[in-house]
Amino acid sequence: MYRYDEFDAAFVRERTEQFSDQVKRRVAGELTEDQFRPLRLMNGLYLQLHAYMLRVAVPYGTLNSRQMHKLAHIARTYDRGYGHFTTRQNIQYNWPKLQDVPKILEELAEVEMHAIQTSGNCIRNVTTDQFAGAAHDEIIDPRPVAEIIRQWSSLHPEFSFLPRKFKIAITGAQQDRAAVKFHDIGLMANEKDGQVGWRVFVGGGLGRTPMVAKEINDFVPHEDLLAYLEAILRVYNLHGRRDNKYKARIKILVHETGIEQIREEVEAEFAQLKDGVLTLPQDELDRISTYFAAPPFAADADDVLDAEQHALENAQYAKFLKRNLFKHRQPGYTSITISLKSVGEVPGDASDAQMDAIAELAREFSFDELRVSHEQNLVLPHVKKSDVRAIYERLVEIGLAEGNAGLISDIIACPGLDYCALANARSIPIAQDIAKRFADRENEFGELKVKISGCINACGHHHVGHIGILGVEKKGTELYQITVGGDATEQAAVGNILGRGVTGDEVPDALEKLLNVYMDQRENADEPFLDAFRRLGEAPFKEALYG
Amino acid sequence: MKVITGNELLSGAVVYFYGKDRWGMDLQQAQIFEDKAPEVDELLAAAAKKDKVVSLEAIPVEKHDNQLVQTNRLREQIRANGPTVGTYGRQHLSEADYVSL
Repeated sequence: MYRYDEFDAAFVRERTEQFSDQVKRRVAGELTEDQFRPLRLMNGLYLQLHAYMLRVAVPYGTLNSRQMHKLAHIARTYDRGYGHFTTRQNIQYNWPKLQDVPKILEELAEVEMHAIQTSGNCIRNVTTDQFAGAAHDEIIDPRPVAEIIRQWSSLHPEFSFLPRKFKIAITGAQQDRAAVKFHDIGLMANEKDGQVGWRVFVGGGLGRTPMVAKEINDFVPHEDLLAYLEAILRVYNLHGRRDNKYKARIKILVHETGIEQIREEVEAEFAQLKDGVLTLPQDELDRISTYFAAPPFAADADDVLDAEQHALENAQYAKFLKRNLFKHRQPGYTSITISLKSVGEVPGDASDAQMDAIAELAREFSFDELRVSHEQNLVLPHVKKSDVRAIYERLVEIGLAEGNAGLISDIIACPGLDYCALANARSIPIAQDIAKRFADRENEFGELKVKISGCINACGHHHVGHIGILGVEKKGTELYQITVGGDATEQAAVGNILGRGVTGDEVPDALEKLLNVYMDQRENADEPFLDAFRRLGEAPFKEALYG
Repeated sequence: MKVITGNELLSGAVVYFYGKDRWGMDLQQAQIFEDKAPEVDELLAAAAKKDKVVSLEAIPVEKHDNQLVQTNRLREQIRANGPTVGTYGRQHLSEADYVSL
C-alpha cells in the first residue's frame, strides 16, 4: 500500500501542530467557538449530541495491520473501547475529549493517517470497491488512481471552500460495488481501443434530493483524468449555488443546468487545462502503482473449498462460506468479508479487542492488508482458501463470524438519533430489531440490502436500499418511511416511497409484509428481491403494507 | 416551561443551567423558566459570551408531581440519558482531565 512521501508527512505533521495550537487557544479563551468551529471541522472534529465525534479518514478504505492496531489503541486509550466504521469507509470515535484530540492526531500521524478533509466543503475521502486489487472481475486496480486523486485533492487551495462537500468514488470493475453513480463524481474503468481509461459520471447523490449521476464522458485517459476532474470542479466552484445549502451540491447544478451545457463548460475548461501541469505522466502512474503491486501469491495454493462437506459439519460455517467469500483474481485465494453486523449488535461498530484481533488476521493471513467497505464491514482481501477455516475459527472467538454478507441482517445504518445532532429518529435499534426478527430466515430471502437513515441527509443510504428506511419525527414521535427498489450498483435506482410512515415497533412487521409478497410472488428461489420488485412493480408491496 | 442546556467545552458533555452561573449534568436540578421569560435570552447571550458551554439552547420541559422535570422530545431524552443502545451511558464531566466549568 501507499507510503507517505516527505510532502505527505510534512503536511500531516504541520496540520497536527496547527490544530494542537488552535485547541490550546480555544481552551485559553483566545478563540471563540464561532472562530474555532470551522477549524475543528477542517480536522474532522464534530460536536454531536453527547460529546465530540472524531472522523478519521481511511483513504479508499485501505488499512494495514499497524494502522488497525493504532485505531484499536485510540479506541482503548482516548475513547470508550470501540470505533464505528462508516459508509464513507472511514472510522468515527464517539467520545473523545477536546484536549485529547491533538494527541490522537499525533498518534494517527505515526501510522500515516489523519482526519483532514473528513468534514467541510472540500473534496472528501475518495472511496472505492472494497475488493479493489483482489476482485476477479476487475479491469484495473483503481487504488493507484484513487491515491493520485487523494494527493491532488489534499489541501487543494482552489477547492478548500467549495459551495458544498464533494465526494468522489472510483471502481475498476464493471460490477459497481462503490455506488459511483451516487457520488458527486463517479469513475468507472472502461476499455476503448485496447486502452483502459475512465467513464466519468457527475451529479449523483443522496440526501434530500437523491439523484443518479449522469455520464459526462465515456472515456477519459489516465493522463488526462486530473485535468478533467479539475475542469469539473472549476465549473462547479464557479456556478454551484452558495445562497442555499440545500441546493449547493453539484447534483442540483447538473439537474438545473442540464448535462449537455455542463459538459460543454467542462470541455471548454478542460481544453485550457489539457496537456498542462496536471497531465499525469505514465512513469508517475507506474511509480504509484508499485505501492499497490500484487502481493507474492503462492502459485500452488489449493483452489478447492469443500463447501458441501463443511455444510454437513457446521451449518454456520457453511453459511459463512456461502455469503462472506468473494471470488479472487488469483486461483487458490479468496477475499473474506468480516461482517460487523452480528445479530443484535450495532452495525459498523468494532471493539478495540476486535480491531486488534482483525489486525492480526490481516498480518497472518492477508499480506497485511485490510479494507473497510462502504457497507460498514471489514475485508481481508487476499486469503488462501486453505486458511479460511482457521480464520473463521478466530472470528468465532471474537464474535464476528456472522455469515450474513448481503443478507437482510447485513444492514447499513447511520448512527441516528442515538448519537447524531442532525438526526430526527433512531436507526440503530431499528436495525437491531430487523436483524433479530429475520436472522433465522435470511437465507430464504437471499440477497437483500436494507439501509436505514435517521434523517433526510441519508448517511445510511436508505434511498438505494432494496428496502430503505428513513426515520422522521412527527409531533415528537419517530416514524419510519419505507422505500422499495433502490439500487446502489451500476443499475442505479432510487427507491419508491410506499406511503405514510410507520412507528419503530411496526417496522419489522412492515418488512415481513413486504417479504411475504416477495416470497409468494417470486418466480423461483433464484429470483432476487430486487428483480422481483422490478418485475412486479410497487403495487403489490404497497397493497400489502397499506391495504 | 424551559431549561437552558448545552455541551461543556472540553468534554462535550450535556449540561444544564442550574442558576447563578452554575451548570451540571442533572436535568432535575436545572433552573426552570417560564416560556416567555425575558431572562432566557439574556442568560443564553451571557453564556455564549463566556463560551465555556457551546451549542446553547433553551428546550421545553414539563414538571410533574411538583418535582420531576421531563422533556418530551426524544432527542432531549437521549441527551439527558445517553444512547438507547449499548451500555455507554453519557459523557461525564469528570472524564475530562480538566473541565471548563
